[in-house]
Amino acid sequence: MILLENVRKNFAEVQALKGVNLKIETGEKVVIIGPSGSGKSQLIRCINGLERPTSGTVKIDDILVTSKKVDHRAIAKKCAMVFQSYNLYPHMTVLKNVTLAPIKVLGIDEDQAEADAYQYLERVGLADKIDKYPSQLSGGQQQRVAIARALNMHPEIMLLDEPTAALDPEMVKEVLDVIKSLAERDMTVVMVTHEMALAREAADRVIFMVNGQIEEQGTPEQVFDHTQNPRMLDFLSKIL
Amino acid sequence: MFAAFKWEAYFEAFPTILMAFTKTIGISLLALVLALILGVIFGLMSVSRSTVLRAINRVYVEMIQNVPLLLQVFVMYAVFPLIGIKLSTFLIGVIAIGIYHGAYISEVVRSGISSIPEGQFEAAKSQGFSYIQTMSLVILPQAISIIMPPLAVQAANLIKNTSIMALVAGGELMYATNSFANSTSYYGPAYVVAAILYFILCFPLSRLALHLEQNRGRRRVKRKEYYNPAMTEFDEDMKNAVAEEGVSTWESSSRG
Ligand SMILES: Nc1ncnc2c1ncn2[C@@H]1O[C@H](COP(=O)(O)OP(=O)(O)OP(=O)(O)O)[C@@H](O)[C@H]1O
Ligand SMILES: [Mg+2]
Repeated sequence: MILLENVRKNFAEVQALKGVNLKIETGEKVVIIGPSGSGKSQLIRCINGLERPTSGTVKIDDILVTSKKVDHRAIAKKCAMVFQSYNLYPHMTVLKNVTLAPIKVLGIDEDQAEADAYQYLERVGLADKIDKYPSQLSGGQQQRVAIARALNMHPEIMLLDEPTAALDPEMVKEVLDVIKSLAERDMTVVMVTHEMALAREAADRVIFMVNGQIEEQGTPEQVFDHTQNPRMLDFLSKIL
Repeated sequence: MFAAFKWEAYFEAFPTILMAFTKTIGISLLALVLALILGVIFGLMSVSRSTVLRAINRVYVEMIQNVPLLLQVFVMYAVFPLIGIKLSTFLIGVIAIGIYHGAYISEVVRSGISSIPEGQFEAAKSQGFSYIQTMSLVILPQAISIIMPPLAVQAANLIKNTSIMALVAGGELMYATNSFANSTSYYGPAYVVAAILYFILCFPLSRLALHLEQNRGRRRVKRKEYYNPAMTEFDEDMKNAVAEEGVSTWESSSRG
């Protein structure tokens, strides 16, 4: 379970998060939407401690993520992240990218980590690319490797921040298909995306953020079809 | 100026010159080791989160970069004995030149690390790597190709700078050359050979720097070849990559 209590994040002039309260149950699939600059990235990055809130607390199960002394290894064991810009390690092959952290952080032995990696890479359709370097892959392929890298940490929670936003249109589908198959597992998924079709199809809950706050949330039907919120309607009209 | 008898006299004294040359090599090697150690430690300090560590690094770098090396050598040579620290000129060379170039190398390391995109640090953090793992597995292996060319330049500069030890009777190549030249007034052979000897040490390093620099450019271009199936895009990227590599590589890119 992920629990955020009164999370605020201030930069010099901007209040990126203005006291967010949020509880995400184990196994829940949550999609976060909202206009640019509304704090979606800040929110998702606070969950795994990439950002430290100015005030408020974030917990993953019994881990107090906002503690100064928090162990990032402990967070990483629960929670993996996929970035908009992939952030693969460019000096390593695909196989190394996917096995490095499991070996060095989780302490899984190399053979096992590679066997797991192979299985996940197969699942994302890239088993034939294990010896390639990231720069030899297309954006869509890189993002699928990044998903395999995240999966190979055997996380209970997957965080995805606009995983398809940097992709050429023809590559979006291959990544979305992989993400959809994630949604069928019992993993907790928290994703920022502008892919409304995916949100509708795969989310248990849609969270709409405006101005550093959760403006509205509910099932995809409630949020997309039955909302009365003018900001939500305005946002939907722009994005569809 | 280059009369044969002068060369004869010079080659009679040549064993002494060669001994001095090995001393130059010795000072250079040990000073380089010291400079590398200091450079990496202070380079890491300069990109650390701790303001205290960053401030310490800044003080070190600014002091070194704004005070002449010769003055630092003179202080160790003339002032340290007054407070009871007596160092051989060999050690003074190693320490003063090591500290001096350590500051420059720390800047090289700093700019190498800062050129790695923030996303790499974030990916490593999100995967639970410790600080040491992040640096040793993810950041430094990427930074090394950026660090190497200016590092080779620094090594060549360091070797050349050992010549200032001649001013404190350092006993190395420049000193031995000077004493021969002054005592015989056969300046020609002495300075020509000394120049050749320094050149022999430094030229390979300069070539290495150039080679590493060009290699980096080529490797990047080659990788892009796979990345862009469309040939026109590839051409564009190649031009960009080459243009980018043309200017001083390790300063041009900065953390995103
Ligand atoms: N490092 C930073 N320094 C200063 N301000 C920041 C920083 N990071 C984010 N912000 C500000 O915080 C606010 C929220 O940013 P955030 O990245 O969370 O938005 P977002 O909803 O993810 O937007 P987008 O859809 O464009 O990714 C923005 O106003 C942004 O300018
Ligand atoms: Mg964002």
